[in-house]
Amino acid sequence: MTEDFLQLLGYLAGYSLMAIGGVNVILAELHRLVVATQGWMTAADFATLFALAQASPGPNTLFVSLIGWHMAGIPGGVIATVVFTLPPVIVATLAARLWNAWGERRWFRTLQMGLAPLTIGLMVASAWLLINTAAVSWVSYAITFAAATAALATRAPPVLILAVAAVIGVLGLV
Amino acid sequence: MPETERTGPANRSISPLEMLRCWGYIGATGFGGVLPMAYHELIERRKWLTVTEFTEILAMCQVLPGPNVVNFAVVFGMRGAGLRGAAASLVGLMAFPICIVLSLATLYAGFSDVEAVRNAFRAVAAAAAGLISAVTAKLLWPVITQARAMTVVVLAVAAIAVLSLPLVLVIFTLGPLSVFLAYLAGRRRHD
Repeated sequence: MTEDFLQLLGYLAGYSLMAIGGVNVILAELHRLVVATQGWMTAADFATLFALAQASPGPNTLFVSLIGWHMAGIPGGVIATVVFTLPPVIVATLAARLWNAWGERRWFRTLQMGLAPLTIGLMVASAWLLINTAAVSWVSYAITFAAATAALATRAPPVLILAVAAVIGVLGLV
Repeated sequence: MPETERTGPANRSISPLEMLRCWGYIGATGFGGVLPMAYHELIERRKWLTVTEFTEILAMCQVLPGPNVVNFAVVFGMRGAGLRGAAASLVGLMAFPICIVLSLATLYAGFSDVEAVRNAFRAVAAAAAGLISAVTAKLLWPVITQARAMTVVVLAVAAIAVLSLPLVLVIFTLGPLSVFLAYLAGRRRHD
């Protein structure tokens, strides 16, 4: 294991606790670190790894696994994921304990009722940004609209909707 | 089954093994974001949560540091089956996707030039955005007539999507504001 990789792990542990809202929040910061400041990879490497993480099933966190993989192979990918996931998981475990203890208290209900609309607002904003990021032509918008309609109007599993989209893509219609 | 009879993990115990299987399936099929799959499995198929419970857990996870879906699995597991539930949900969510993404990365170099592969990725990204929009619409629908909630929703969208303010700043300004509005609404009801 190289010194660079150990340094990366240190940064990841710190970033994980700053990523309120998920890995997308610290993308710019990650880019600054691994491309601009440390030169551990090129900007093109960074973009490719991000696209790969998007194309895989599972949480966006997998992007961090790929940064680890790029620097230290498959063990590096696994270790980077654990180091990035563990600190927030410990915090979430404690938070869930408190929820179990205080869930019925009125101030806790107020806190939850207050945070719910903020959550929905952040979701609307991410959906909006994602739609525009994914759009390469009017066909992309059509696929987005059709997928949303299918998810709202039917109980089709999301994976089926994505599979149909993949076929449309392979046929070269995008 | 009527809405009121649905029970969440807080009042019905789900075994860690069931959680492992459920989150394993959610992780393995959650292309382009896990949330739509989690919504489908937990609410529509297994009926372990109501929309309100789902939103409440998600709300908590968004103010906690770290990936929302990972936090969601941990909080869900803890509430349903304690530490064992949290560990089962977390391993279920992460294990299979990590294997896939690392295999994919190893294979990618050989296929990155194939036009069909790139086109498929593009179409899947567009559909994934549609799925996230649908989940968002389902969460938005129950509160669309509530002035208090919609004020916060509109402010959050404007701050992030229009003004591109940093997320941490938005959470720490709109969060307290929104909780204060909820407090006022609750006090009015009790007076």
